[in-house]
Amino acid sequence: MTGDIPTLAARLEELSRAPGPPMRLNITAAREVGRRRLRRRRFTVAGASAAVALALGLAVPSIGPFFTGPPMTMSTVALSTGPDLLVAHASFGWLPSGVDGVGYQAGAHSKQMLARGAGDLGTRIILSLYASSAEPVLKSFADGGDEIAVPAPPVDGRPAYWITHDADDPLNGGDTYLRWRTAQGPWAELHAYYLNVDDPQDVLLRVAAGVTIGDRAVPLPLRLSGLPSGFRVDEVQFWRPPLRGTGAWELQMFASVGGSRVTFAVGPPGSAPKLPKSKCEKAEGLTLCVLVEGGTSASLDAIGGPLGLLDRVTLLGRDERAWTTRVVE
Amino acid sequence: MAADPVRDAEFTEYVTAKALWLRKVAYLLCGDWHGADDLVQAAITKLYVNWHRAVRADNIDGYARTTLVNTFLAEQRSPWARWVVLRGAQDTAPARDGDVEATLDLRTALAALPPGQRATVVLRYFCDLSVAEAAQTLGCSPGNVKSQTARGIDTLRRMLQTRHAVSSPEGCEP
Repeated sequence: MTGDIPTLAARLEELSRAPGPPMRLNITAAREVGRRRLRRRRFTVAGASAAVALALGLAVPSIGPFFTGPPMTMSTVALSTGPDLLVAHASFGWLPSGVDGVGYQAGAHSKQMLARGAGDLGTRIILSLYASSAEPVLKSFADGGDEIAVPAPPVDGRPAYWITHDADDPLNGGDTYLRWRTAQGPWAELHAYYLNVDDPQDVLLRVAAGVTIGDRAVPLPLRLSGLPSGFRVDEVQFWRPPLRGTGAWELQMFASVGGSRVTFAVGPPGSAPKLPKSKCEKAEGLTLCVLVEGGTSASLDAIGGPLGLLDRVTLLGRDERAWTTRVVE
Repeated sequence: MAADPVRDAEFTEYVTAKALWLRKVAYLLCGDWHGADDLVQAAITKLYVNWHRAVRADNIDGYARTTLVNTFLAEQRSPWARWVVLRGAQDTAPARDGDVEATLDLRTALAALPPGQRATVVLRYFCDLSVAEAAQTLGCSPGNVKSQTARGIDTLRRMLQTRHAVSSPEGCEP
């Protein structure tokens, strides 16, 4: 069947066996998110039925709580509808030397705060929060194995434990979880891997002790003003260090206006992505590219399309003290 | 909605057994492991929602594969995913020798294909699906599969230094 490329099937098979990092699959999360979607789907049907009943003058019984289960993790970073675009709900404090920076991803594809080292095998420390002060229950890992709690030294006097497959291996083979109660009450969790230090337990306990809970607007290196009507930022991905390249960081911001999808990509030398067919400019030591795709938007056309958008972006330079939390004016 | 223990147990057992297979297909579609893991996560979440249909399907692996491919294609229509694909394609691998180099060449060539052509090539040559099966998976006509495959192969052939090897299409069997 491979016809003109007789080796293709074998080469695809070989490519699929290329070495990769440990698989990040969370079956528990898939079940939980799936259950929420099913619940919404049923609620929508129930809501429609209730609307019909109300229209017909029928009595509708009150609807009780839909879900009373253990506390769920909440995102540590989110897009805000207020003046500050990106808001973090917690902050890292001390971080080990293998970490080059902290990044934030907020939007439909991910909502996380991630402390990273450079490269595919650089340190990864992901911070999660639980929505309430109730202690989370143990569940199962992505591979179906049961989570086992192994007591850890207290974090500033508050209870803490490792979560592992094997009670004899608190570090879970390098794919390490530490859960503890924060000073503010809610439980938090660190998930760390590629942690290339001699004493990972001590390091993670120290990282946990430095975590603080509380809303904090995240400054970004650009300001947008005079935007077309209907303009909305849908997703922000701030990577530090960048996913690839040698720069210090990179930012992608995804927005929509009318039927058009708009991508802004910003970075210092070494990390600025070059988007094909985008319009780019350099200012204040940064490169900005704007790409407009999809359908048309009258309000976007009215300001001159991508070039008009470029004119409405002010780059704030490489000195982070000049960055702003009020990105969209 | 409370958890359904039977549904959860069946789903967990299935995904645990098939995770690595799904990841391989996802890696060929995405071109990078992190993207592949995100894709599998999104696909199995949809699979959980539609588990009642999946278990009634004649071929549950085919149902899971269809969910994965359609999730991939839907993601490609979002600007976020398009950016990730572009970045993946720009990721130049260090020079290596022999088969490893050829494998990395193929990854780059695959990443250069439009998502639809890439999915078609993976389904036909990695999953070893017939034209009709690939058309059913993608929800398009057999003629569309043929034309997408032809264009994809043509592009790959131009980009690759085709080397002699024995074909062994076995990859998409879980």
